[in-house]
Amino acid sequence: MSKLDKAIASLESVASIGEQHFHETDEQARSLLQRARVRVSTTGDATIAVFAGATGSGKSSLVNAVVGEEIARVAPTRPTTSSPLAISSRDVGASLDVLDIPHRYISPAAPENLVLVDLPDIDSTEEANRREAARLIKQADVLVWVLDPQKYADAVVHEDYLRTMTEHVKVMLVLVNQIDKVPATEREGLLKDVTALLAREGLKLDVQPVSAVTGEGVAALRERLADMAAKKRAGLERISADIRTYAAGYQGRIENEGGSEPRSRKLADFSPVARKIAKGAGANIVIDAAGASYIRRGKKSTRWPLTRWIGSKVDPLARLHLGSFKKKEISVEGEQAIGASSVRASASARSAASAAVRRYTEDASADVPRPWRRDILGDSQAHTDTLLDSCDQIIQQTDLGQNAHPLWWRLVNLLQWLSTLAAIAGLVWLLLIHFGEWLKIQLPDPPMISIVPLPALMLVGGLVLCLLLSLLSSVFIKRGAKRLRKRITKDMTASITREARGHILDPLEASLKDYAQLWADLAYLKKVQL
Amino acid sequence: MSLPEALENLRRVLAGMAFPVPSAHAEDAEEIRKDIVHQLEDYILPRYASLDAPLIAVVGGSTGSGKSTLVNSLLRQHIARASAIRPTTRRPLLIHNPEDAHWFTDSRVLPGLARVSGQAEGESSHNELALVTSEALPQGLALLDSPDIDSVVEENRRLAFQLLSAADLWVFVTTAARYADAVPWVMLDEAASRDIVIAVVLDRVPLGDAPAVRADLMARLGERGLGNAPLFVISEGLDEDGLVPRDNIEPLRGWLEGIARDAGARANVARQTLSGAVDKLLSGQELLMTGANEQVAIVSQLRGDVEHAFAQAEKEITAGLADGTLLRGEVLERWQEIVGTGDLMKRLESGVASVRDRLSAIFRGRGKDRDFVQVEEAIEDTLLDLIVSQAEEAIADTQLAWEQRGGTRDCLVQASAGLRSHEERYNAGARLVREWQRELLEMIGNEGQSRRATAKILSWSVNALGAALMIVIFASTSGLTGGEVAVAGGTAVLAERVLEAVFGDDAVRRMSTKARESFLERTREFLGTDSSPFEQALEDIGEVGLWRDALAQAFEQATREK
Repeated sequence: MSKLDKAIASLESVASIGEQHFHETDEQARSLLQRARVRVSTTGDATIAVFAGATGSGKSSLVNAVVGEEIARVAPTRPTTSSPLAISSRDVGASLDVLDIPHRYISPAAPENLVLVDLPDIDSTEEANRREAARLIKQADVLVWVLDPQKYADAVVHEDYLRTMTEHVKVMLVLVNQIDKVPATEREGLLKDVTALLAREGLKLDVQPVSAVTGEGVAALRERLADMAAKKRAGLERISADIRTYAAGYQGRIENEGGSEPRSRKLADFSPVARKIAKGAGANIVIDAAGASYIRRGKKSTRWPLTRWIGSKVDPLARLHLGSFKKKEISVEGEQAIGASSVRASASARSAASAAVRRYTEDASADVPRPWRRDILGDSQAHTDTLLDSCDQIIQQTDLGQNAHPLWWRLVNLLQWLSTLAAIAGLVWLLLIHFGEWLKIQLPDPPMISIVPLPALMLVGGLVLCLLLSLLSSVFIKRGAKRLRKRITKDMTASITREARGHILDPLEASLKDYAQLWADLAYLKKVQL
Repeated sequence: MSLPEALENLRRVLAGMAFPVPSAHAEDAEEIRKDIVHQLEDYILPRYASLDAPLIAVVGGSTGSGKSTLVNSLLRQHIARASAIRPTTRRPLLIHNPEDAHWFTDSRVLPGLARVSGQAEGESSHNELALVTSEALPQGLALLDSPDIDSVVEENRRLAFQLLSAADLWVFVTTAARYADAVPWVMLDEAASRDIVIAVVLDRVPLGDAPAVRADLMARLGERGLGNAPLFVISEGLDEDGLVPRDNIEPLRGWLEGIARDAGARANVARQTLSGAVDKLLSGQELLMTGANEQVAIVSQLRGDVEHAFAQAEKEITAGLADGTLLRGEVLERWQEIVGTGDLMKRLESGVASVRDRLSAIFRGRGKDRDFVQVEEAIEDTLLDLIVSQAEEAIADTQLAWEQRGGTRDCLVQASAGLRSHEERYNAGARLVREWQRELLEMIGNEGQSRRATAKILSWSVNALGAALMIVIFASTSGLTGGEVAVAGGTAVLAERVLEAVFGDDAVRRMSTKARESFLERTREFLGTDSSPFEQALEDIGEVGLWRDALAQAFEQATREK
C-alpha cells in the first residue's frame, strides 16, 4: 500500500466516522479525497504554479518576465487581471480542464512540465476576482506569493491566506516584487521585516527580492520553478500539506468542543453499576430471602429430629412467590410471580439505577467532544429503561439455590437419627434394667465401658452427639448461606452486565472505538508526508 | 432634555451594557456598541460642547500609501516618521498650532488615549496620542496622522477606525496600486453614509499613468456617492528633502488652509460632519435593539430551562412521597418481616383484642429494635436515592437543554464547573436524610413529653415508632397497583393503629404532615444547591432586560431631541 493510498484510507475513515457522529457532510474531507484520487491518476503531469497577490503587486509583469514574453496584460488602472491565464510550454489540457481555466497560452519559452497561472487579485473591490483567486489558490501545486513594498503588510494576504498555510512552506515561494522602488538603504531592513512578519505567523522561509522591471531575481525564480517541475513532487507535497492542515484544524475543533485524547479503549468495570441496578430491582430482598431459605432448609435437615417441627412453616422464598418447590406450582404461581408486588423496585431505586448508568456513561465518554457525547448519553439513557425493565425477569430467573441439598446435610441427618436412636435404645435399656422386675424381665448386667455402663453411655453420648451435630451444622449452614448469597449476587450482576452489553455497553464501546480511531487517524494525518 | 444630554445618557447606557451570550446579532451589535461609545466620547459630545474648537483633519488610508510623508510634506518638516517598513505609524500623531494647544492637552477629545508630547522615545503604544506643535499649521485646524486601516496589525486597524470616527474631516490617502482595494472602499462607503467632509488624495502615481488612473478613480468615487469630494493627484517621486515637491502638494495645502482661515467654513464642516455622525449613530438603533432583544430572549429561555428541570425534580420528589411508590420494594419487605402479612391486619380490623397485645409484643421486643433500624435504613436509602437521582436528572436535563440552545458554551462550562461532585451530593443527601430522621425521632420524643403517654412511649422502642411514622408518611396508596395496595395499605393501617394507640389520631396526623413538609423544605434547599451554579452563570451575564429597556428609552429620547 503506497503512502498516498494509506492517507486516502485514513482520510476516508475520518470523513465517514466524523459524518456519522457529527451528522453533517464533511465537505472539506470529501473535496480533499477527490483531489487526492485525481492526484493518484495524474502523477507525472505538469506542475501547476499560481502567481497570487494583491492588485498592483505586479503578478502579470512577473509572469511575463519569467516566461520571457509579453503575454499577460499589464495596465496602470486597477484591477487589471480578472480571469486566470495559464501559460505552458506544451498542451496540458487535461490538468487545466480539471482546474477550469479557459484562458490558455502555449509558449515554447516557458519552462518544461510547468504551468504558470497568472491569477486575479485577492484584495480588490471586484468580488469575482477574489473568489476566482481563492478557488485556484486552493488547488494549485505551487504557490508563488507576489508581495510588494507598499502592500506586504496588508491584512488580507496574511489573515486570509498565509496564516492558514503554515504547513505549505515546501510548495510556497514568497517574493517581494518591485524591489527596484525601494531605496538601497532600506532594502535589507524591508526584507528582514517581511521575513520576521512571516516567521511570527509560523512560516519559516526565505523571502526573495525580485523586480520585473530590472529583471533582478527573475532568472533564479524561473530556475526554482523549473526545478520543482522537474522533481514532480510539488503535487503530492501540496496534497499532504492540505491534509495536515485539515487534520490539525479538525483536531482543533474537537478540542474546542471539549474533546481530548482518548485515554483507554477499555471500558471500566460495570459490576458496581450492575449491583446498583440489581438493588434497584429489589435483588437484596430476594437474596436475603434465598439466604434465609437456605438456612431454614439446612436446619430442617440437620437439627435434632425430634424438635424439627418447631419454627416457621413458610419458606421465605415462597412468600415472595419465588422458587416454588413443586414443578406444578411454578406454572401457576410463576405467572403472578413476574408481577409480584414485593420485589418490584421503588421509583427512587429505579431512578438511582438510571443515574448510576448515566454517571458510568459520562465517565466513559469524558474525552469525547460535546455534540458526539450528547448522542452517546442520549442513547444510553434511552436504553436504560429497557435494561431496568428486563431486570425483574433476570432476578426471577436467577438460580436461588432453592433445590440445593448438600450431601453433608444428609449425612448429618443420618447421624442425627442414628444418635437419636442410640439414645432412645440406651434409654429403653436403662428403663428395662431399672423397672424390669415389674415386667418380670430379668436382664443380664449391662456391659461396662471402663466404669460407665453401656446403656448410659448410649443415652448421654447420643444426646451429646445430637447437640454437637446441631451446633456444628448451624455454623456450616450459616457459612453456606453466606456463600450462596455471594454466588447469587455474582450471578445477578453477571446476568445484568450481560444484558447491559447488548443495550448499552456494546454501542458505547463501539462509539468510543470510533472516537479512538478518529483521533489516531487525525494524529497520523497531522504529520503525513506523501 | 437637550440633544447633548440625551446623547450623554445614551452613552452612559451603552457603556454599561454588553452582549455576553452569543446570538445571531450579538457580535455585530457589540461592534456597533463599542463604535458608538467611542464616537460619542471621542467626537460627538466634545464637538457639541465646543463647536468653535479647532477642526481635526484625520489623514487616513492604507498601509504604505504615504500618509506620514504627506503630513511631513504639508508642514515642510520631518515630524511624522516615514519608512519602507510597514506598518510605520503605530502611535497616532496630532499636530496643531501652538495657540490651539489648550484644546488638545486635556482629555476633551479622544479621552481613551494618553497624551505624550512630541516624538517620545521608547515603545510606541496604541493607547497613546503624541502631540506636536507646528507654526506651519494655521490656527483652527489640527492634523491627525493615523495608523493604517488595512494592516496586518489588528490594533492599528481598530485605532484607525476609531480616529476616523473622531474626525471632522477626512484626508483619505490611497495610491495608484491601491485605489481598487476592497478594504479602503468599505471606509469610503462609511464616509459617504455619514456625509462627512472628505478629500481624497491619490498618491504615488507613476509618471504618465495619472490621466488613466485619475479618470478611473473619479468614476468609482461617483458610483459611491462621493463625486463631490475633491481629488488631489500626487505623482511618484520625492525631492532632495524626502518630501513631496511643493508644487505637487500645494493644491491640497491650499484647500485645507482655506477651510482653516474661514470661521464660517469651519463651522459648516463641523456641523455637517456632526449631524451626519448623529444620524448614523441613531441608525444603529435597530441592530442594537435586535441584539438586546435576542439577549433577553436567550437568557429567559436558559432560565426557563433551569427552572423547568428543577421544578420537575421537585414535583417527582413530592409525588414520590405522596403516592406510596417509595414503600415498594425493600422498605415494605423489611416491615413485613417484622409484623407479618395480611392476615394479621385482617384480625386487627375485626377487632380481636389479643392481636393488639401481640403487636405490642412485637413493638416492645428489645431484640426487634435492630429490625426497626433496618426499616429506617431502608427508608433512608430510598429517600437518598430519590433526591440524589432527581437532582442529577435535573442537572443532566438542564445541561442538555442549554447545549441544544447553542452558543451557550461559556455559560454551560462555567455552571458545570460550579457543580458539586456526585460524592459531595451523595454525602449532603445522606446528611439531609439523617437529620430529617433525627428530627422525626425528636418529634416523637417531644410529643411524648406533653402527654401522659410518656411512660407508654418509653416502654415502646423509639425506633419502632419512628419507623411506623415514616411508613405512615409515605403510605398514601394512589401510586400502587393491585396486590401492592392490599399489602401497603395493610402495612400503613397497621403502623397507623400502633401510633394512634400511643399518641391519638390528631397527633399522628399533625406529626406526619409536619414531617413531610420538613422533608420537602430540606429537599428544596438541597435542589437549590444544585441549581444555583446555573442561576449564578445567568446572573453573571447581568440584567439584560434592564439594559434593553434603558437602551430603548435612551434611543427614543435622542431621536426626539434630534
